Amino acid sequence: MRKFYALHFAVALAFATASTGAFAHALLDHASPGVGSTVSGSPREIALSFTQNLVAGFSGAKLVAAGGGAVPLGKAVVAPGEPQTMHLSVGRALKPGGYTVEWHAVSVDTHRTSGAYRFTVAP
Amino acid sequence: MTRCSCAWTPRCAPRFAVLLALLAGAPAQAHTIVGDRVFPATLTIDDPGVNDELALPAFSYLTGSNFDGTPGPISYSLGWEYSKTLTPSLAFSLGSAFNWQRRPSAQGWSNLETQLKYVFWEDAKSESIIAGALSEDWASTGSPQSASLPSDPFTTLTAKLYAGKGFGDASLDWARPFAVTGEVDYAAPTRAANGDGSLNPSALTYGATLQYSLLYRNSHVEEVPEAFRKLIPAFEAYFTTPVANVAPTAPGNFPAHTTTGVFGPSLYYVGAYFEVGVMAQIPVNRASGSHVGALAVLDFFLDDIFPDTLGKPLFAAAAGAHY
Repeated sequence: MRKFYALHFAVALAFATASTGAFAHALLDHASPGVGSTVSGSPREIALSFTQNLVAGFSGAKLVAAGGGAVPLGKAVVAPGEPQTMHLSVGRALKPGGYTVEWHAVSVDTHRTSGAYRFTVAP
Repeated sequence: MTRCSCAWTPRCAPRFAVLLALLAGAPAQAHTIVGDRVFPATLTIDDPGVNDELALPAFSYLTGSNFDGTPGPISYSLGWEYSKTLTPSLAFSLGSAFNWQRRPSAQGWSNLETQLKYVFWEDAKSESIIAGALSEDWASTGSPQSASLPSDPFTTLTAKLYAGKGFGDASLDWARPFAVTGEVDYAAPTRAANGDGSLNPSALTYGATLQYSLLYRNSHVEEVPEAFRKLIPAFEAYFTTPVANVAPTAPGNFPAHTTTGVFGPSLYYVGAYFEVGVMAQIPVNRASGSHVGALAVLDFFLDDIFPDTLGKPLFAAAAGAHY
């Protein structure tokens, strides 16, 4: 029993301290436009930064106006030098009002997460 | 019966059972993700999901109380629990704890406890989950009866029910980071009485947590300063009530049917591969303890550390099905 626990503790600790951040659930760390923020002027892109590296092909987002209309977004792009961030171009200029970003992300170990947040474009 | 100042005797068993039950709240934890909600591995009760995790160590400290008002034994516990998913909804766990005390000095391992836990229902949209479990505390698998703090010489079976609900679907933004979890257990010893005639009561254990997730607030409501983004403050409570096969109250002792428990604030840091939790446990009455104690846990997320081997279900492991 003690051998079992000592072995697992050593292995787990080694991985916890030596891993590069390439695993685990991807949770939204920060975004642009920011979560719950008010921005002046229409953003040209949505940038979502997560706690883990992403698989671009299985990650993406939708942008929905407060009235329910969808705003076209480009495909998620994950730059090699910024593997935890997906960039999505905004298809048209956003009118003043509230918007919801509905995102889904798959980290490189296939854990899938999703979520949504709102931001406002000031008049 | 005079106050229970002995290290351990069968007459003192109910008192030790109370302390050990309070201490034993610590080892059984894990973290769970339902929809957008991360339920952390809480200290007083288990979270409502199944996981691949290793809680090591889980620490507890509490000072007991004697019936005459004087402080009782100062009890400590260092526990561990390993949890392995068999399927995405079913997990097996194994755990134990080393307990020691001062005033008077005594020490010993508690019995091995095994558990099968199953998630009956979960709904990602409403961040809700319900699970149940059957656990068995195996007789005499801890320290022998000759030890100063021996393990129970009888087996105890426990049926458990768990529930969790996140309020991400609330219409008010300030309410969305909140979540609640709860657990109700019924523990029944398989032997009604010991050789000396003392009884082994059945007990109802119940607890709840109220959580405010800054993790959730940062991702879904409003960005918070970086230093606070991975924190989940909570308030927890945990009680045990003997309900059957309870011995008559002995003179000079707490009433045998007394409900014991602890409550208090807690704080969790949820990292990518591990979680750290601490809690101040405040006794609800003198039978539960005389001073504020503490709980702490270091919990490794094996599903995140070893996603392709040790950390995935033995059967029916599928992408997107990870908790």
